[in-house]
Amino acid sequence: MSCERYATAIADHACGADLAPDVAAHVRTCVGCAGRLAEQRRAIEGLDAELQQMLAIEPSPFFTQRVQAHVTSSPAIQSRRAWLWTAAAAAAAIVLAVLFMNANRQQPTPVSVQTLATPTPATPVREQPAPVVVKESPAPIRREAPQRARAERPTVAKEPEVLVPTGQMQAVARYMALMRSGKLDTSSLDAKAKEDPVPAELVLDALEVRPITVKELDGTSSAVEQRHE
Amino acid sequence: MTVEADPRHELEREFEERLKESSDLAIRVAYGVVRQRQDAEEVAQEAFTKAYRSFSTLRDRSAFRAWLVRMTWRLAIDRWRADRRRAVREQTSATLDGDASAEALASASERATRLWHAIDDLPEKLRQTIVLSAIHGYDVREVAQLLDLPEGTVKSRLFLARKGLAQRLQCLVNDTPQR
Repeated sequence: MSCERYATAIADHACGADLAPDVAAHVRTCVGCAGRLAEQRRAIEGLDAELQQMLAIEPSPFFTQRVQAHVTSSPAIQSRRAWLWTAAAAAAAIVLAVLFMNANRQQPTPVSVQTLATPTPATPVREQPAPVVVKESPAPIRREAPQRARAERPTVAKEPEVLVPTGQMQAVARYMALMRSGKLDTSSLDAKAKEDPVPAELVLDALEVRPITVKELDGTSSAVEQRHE
Repeated sequence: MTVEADPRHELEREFEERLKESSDLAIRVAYGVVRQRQDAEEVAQEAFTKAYRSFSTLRDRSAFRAWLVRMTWRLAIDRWRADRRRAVREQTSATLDGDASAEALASASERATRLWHAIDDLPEKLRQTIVLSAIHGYDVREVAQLLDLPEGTVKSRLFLARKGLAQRLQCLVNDTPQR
């Protein structure tokens, strides 16, 4: 009766499981259980051998040649290499295109007064980046690459920038707003200009340029030499 | 001064070597699933074709065999699932016909049929492990390498597969000692 409790462990051991120490000790001392274990082992080994025999098929005589002919007739490796080269060329083209676009990309100019002021002939036109940048943020982020790219190529200012001293931005903005709305009366400015004429000492006479007259030389070398002497 | 071989020819030469040493392995793995020689050879050929396309990354010998086993098994399972009804019909027909060849006789035997049915009843992971262990008599370590699994996992699966087969083929187990 006590051997029955080891039956499962013995069967599992025959299938490949480890044997617990107490079961192993029992099997060593019990002839019946040792015989059962040997029987189970033979059964499993017979099962494995039968399965191995069922799977022991050999390839057909020309299997290797057939597979070789099939795979070498398809340009698999060659097409793989061609595909790699195509992919590499495409990647290089994309990289070049991105670099080209970055080099030619127009960086947006900083927001300045030019959006508010109307360009006049008297306003200075700067081709360099404007030193005064109207921006509420305290410290604008400087990017080295865009500034370098902008400095290298000639700047074509579509609308000239207007230099406005720092601190007068709001006044200029209000002035421009009044001008655009038509509420600005400039007659008082004209009247004041008439009231304050230019002082007489500051008025300059018109500059007269007289033609230079050159006397002709007598044309003889002796006369010139005598004069030098 | 050494003359360098053409890389493409070198690849093809290596592939030919792998093909010769692994063709029986691929066919047996496929046969363990589809149970038909012709189907097994077609599956093995398909696996070798796929291996040829990726051979530049599979040049390591052990990695190639493991990859080949797994690919062949997947392809065979796909074919078996697609042609399950046809395969069962052909196997039954071969059993009843009693072909004179040794392989047909082995397939026709009742024990083999019952064993195949018992293997079919196993979960796929257990079936793959028991079939691989039966090919060339691979041990746990070799099966673990082929399946890229820990040896403990293979040992556990092998135990469960054997136990499942023994339970399904109880009479077979009882008959075996008299063999």
